[in-house]
Order: sequence, then C-alpha cells, then structure tokens
Amino acid sequence: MQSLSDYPFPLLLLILEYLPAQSLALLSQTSHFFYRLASSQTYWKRLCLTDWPWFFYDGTCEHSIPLVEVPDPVQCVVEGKERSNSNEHVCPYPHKVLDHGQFFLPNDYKEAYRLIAGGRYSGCLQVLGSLVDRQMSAFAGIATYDKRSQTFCISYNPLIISQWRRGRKIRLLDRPIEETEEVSHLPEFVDERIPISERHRFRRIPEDLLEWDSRELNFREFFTSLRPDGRPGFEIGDEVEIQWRFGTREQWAWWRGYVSRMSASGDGEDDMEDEEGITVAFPHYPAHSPWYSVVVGVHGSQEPNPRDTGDLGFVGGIRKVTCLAHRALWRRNFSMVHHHVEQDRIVEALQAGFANLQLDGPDVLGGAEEGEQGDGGNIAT
Amino acid sequence: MPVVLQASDNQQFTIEKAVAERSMLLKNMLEDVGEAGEPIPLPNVAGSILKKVIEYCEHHKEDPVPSAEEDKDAFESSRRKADDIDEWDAQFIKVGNEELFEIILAANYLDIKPLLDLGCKTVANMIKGKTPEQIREMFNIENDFTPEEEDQIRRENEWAADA
Repeated sequence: MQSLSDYPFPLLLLILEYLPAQSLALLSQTSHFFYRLASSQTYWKRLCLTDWPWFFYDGTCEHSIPLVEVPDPVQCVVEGKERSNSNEHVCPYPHKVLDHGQFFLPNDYKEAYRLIAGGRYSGCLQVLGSLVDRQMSAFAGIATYDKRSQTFCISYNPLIISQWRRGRKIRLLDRPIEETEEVSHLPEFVDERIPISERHRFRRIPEDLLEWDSRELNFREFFTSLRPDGRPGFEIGDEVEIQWRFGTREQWAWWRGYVSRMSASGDGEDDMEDEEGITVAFPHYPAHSPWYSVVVGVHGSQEPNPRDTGDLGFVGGIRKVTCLAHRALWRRNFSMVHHHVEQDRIVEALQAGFANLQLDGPDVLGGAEEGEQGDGGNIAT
Repeated sequence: MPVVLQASDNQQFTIEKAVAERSMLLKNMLEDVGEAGEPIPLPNVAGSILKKVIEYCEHHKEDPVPSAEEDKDAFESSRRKADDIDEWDAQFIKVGNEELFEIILAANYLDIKPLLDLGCKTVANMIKGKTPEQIREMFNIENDFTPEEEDQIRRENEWAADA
C-alpha cells in the first residue's frame, strides 16, 4: 500500500486542504509528521472562517455559506428586473481585522476551533428569523455549539449579552420544565436551539455595532447620512433594515423591509403625510396588519411605532441592505417565511405604493422557492 | 493534427490536439514547438497511467477552460468541498491506492488541474470518517508517538472524536 507520506509535500498540502476539521484533527493523531502538518494555522484559519465565520473578524465580509444571488420576489415586482451592477459585489461596509482576544478567543486558530467545536466557547452573533414570531428580523444572541445534538444553543437575553461583552464566561443551560425559585434568578437559559444545518440564519455582528450594548444603541447615523442634495440616501424600492424594538428594556434588532414611500417637508408631493420620514413595508405581513408598515421619522421621535396600535414598539435607525452577502441571507430567509400575503396581494400592495409600476407577469414571484436549495454547510460531521 | 505521446515505457498514444491541450504542460509545449508531428516523450509517466489520464482528458475535452480568476471570486464558497465529484469522475477515479498515487503525480506533472483536484479530493475522502488507527493502516503510517504523547493529543482532540 502506498504511504500517505510518499506524496510530494506540495501535493500533501493540497490534499489536506480538502479535509474537514474533524478529519484533520484525527489525522494529526497518527504520527509526529502529520501532527505538525495538520497543525498549520493556514488550515485552521480557513476552517474557522468557514465553519464559524461569525466569531472571527478577518477584515472581510463573511461569505462562507455558498451564496447564490436569490431573486427576491418583492424586489422583482418593484423593479421589474434585477439590478446587475458589478459594484454590488463589493461590500460597502468597512471590515476590520480584529484580535480574537476581543471575543475571548485565543489568537491561535486551531485552539479557537477546538474551543468552539467542543462547546467551550460562547460567541455573539445575529440570528435571522429567531423564535417563532420574528420573521425577517435579526436579533443578537449568545451562541454555544452543542456537539452532541449538532445545534447552537442561543440566548437572546440582553442581560446575558451585556455580561458576555464584559468578559463573563457564559454557560447556557436548558430551561427547566418547572422554574423554581432557585433557578429563577439565573437568566442563562437557552431560548432556542438552531441546528447546524440552518447556519445560514446566522450573521456576524457588524463591526460598528460590536462595542454597543444591544439595548442602548439607536443607530441614527445610518439615517442621517444624507445625499448631496440634502435628502436621505434612500429610494423607493430599496431593500432596507430598520432598527426596532418592543420596549425600552428590550434590545434593538434589525427588521428587513422595503422603502415604499418617502415624504419630506417641502417636497410638495406628499403633503398628505404629516410626518416627515420613510415608510417601510414588510410584505410578509397582510396589508391590513399593523406590522405591515412603519414610518421611520426623520427626527427620530421615540413615539410608539407602528402608530394607532398602542404601545407596540419603537423605531430606531434605518440602513440600506447593499451588501450582496446580507441580501442573499435575507432572501434565503424570506423564502422560508410563512407568507401571509398571497402573490396577488403583494402585487396589489406594491401597486398602491408604486403607481407607475409596470408588471411583467405573475412569474416574478417564482424565485421565492429557489432560496432553499443551498445546504447549510456541513461542519465536522 | 493529432499529437503523439510517448510514455516512460515507450508506449505511444496518438490523441487529438484538443485532448492533449487539457494538459497545460502539453498545451504550452505544442505552442512552442508547433506541430512537428514528433512523439512527445513523457519520461515521468508510465503507459498504463498515461492511458488513464488520456481517458480523463478525452471525456473532459469539451469542458470550458478554467480561468485563473475563477478562484478569486469573493463570493464563492471558501470551503473546499471534497464531496462535489460528478458521477463519471467518481467512477473513473475508483482505482487502487497505488494507481491513484500515480495519477495524481501525473496530473501534477502534466499540469491538469481538474484531475489533480479530483485526485486530491479522492484521497481526502479516503481519510474522512476514519479513526487515526484506520488512517494509519490504510496509508501505511507508522505511529511514532509515545503513549503519553498519544494520550495528550487524544485529549486535545476530544471535540473531534465520535461525532
């Protein structure tokens, strides 16, 4: 039999590149030679960034999951065509290289991998479509990988997140069936378990939000960034994320929708609207639902929003979804959302907002199913 | 104009130019020397292996030539997937360890990147899912760890065991 070590060194390195983390680790147990070879930071860096990209900041956009540009049903209706601008491939957000130490991980990639895969590390990330009633939202959570069940245990408790930020080691516990007095003061319960096969629901905490407490940050900057003509840099049909929260003690989370209306003072066109702002529609809700649209006020009022629904929550900032990676994440997520709105209702609702729109036909919605194709990536199985 | 290849054991193979051009080495050679019609000697490749390599190139002669830029697509999955092998290739590469080794070396020498990748993926797939003992046995690796060292590494790798 041919010995593996007979392969010329460069070819051996090539072969090892195809190994998943688990096999690489087991190969390192065979001999001194393979231990040294399989301990190379090159492999472990790649594996860390592929398998747990949300915990590492290497100066690039996270793009480990196979990203296909999923046609967005609503976007297609709005524009009648997909934008295809080569600039779209460039993520507009600045990405910094950050020390692992900031996230309480060792700077050694192999060691970091070991801690994460072994469930001995809890990291912070954003979860799309968390729990049952948060469709098309991204909430920050603390996540610990559980090898046995191949799931991520996640807590969305803002208290836990802020303790994590301060460097406390978080151990998440499964919620007991009956909460006794004894455990009720412990908030470290798992709110949700997400199988590794659904890892496309995770995304990194953006660099510019890292140092903020998720309860405090109200991301106005994104809103106030104005175009040269003095108007907010948004257009009708833009895919946006708004920051919104249920109450002042809750954390801010991002919700994805579309700009369906713009009204500005002095505009002259939209004088029906008394508030100056951007109306964002969430087409997965029925058009009559209070959740269907909210107005993001220019002046950042802390009025409950949506209006006319009582104390239902508050709008923070707004930002455009321009990064291809994030757009693909949302779209894949959208394809799994239970659509309250039937196809024609979407069209109807959007027509109301876009009177001049020309529709090409009903097939524009066909793309929704395609988002589910990609596998979630397989980790160390 | 056909191309004649001569293996290390003097076996000769006459193939289409398009087939030969799957090999970057041969492609460059043919550009340099023109179409002299002389057999091209390949002293590093045995006839039986060359036959196999030609079979691969025949099957893939219509494939688009991969561009060097392709790998750099920022949004391509950065994970190198070992399991995306097409059916024909999978059948083709079902060979003994020794032969696989020779094919990989030949693909490397002849600079046929897709075949080299196929070979490396296949070796990686053989390592996948095996215990250290099975890997040692399969690839003839001598265990030179002391029991203490072995124990320590096993503990280090606890996360990877029995998943």
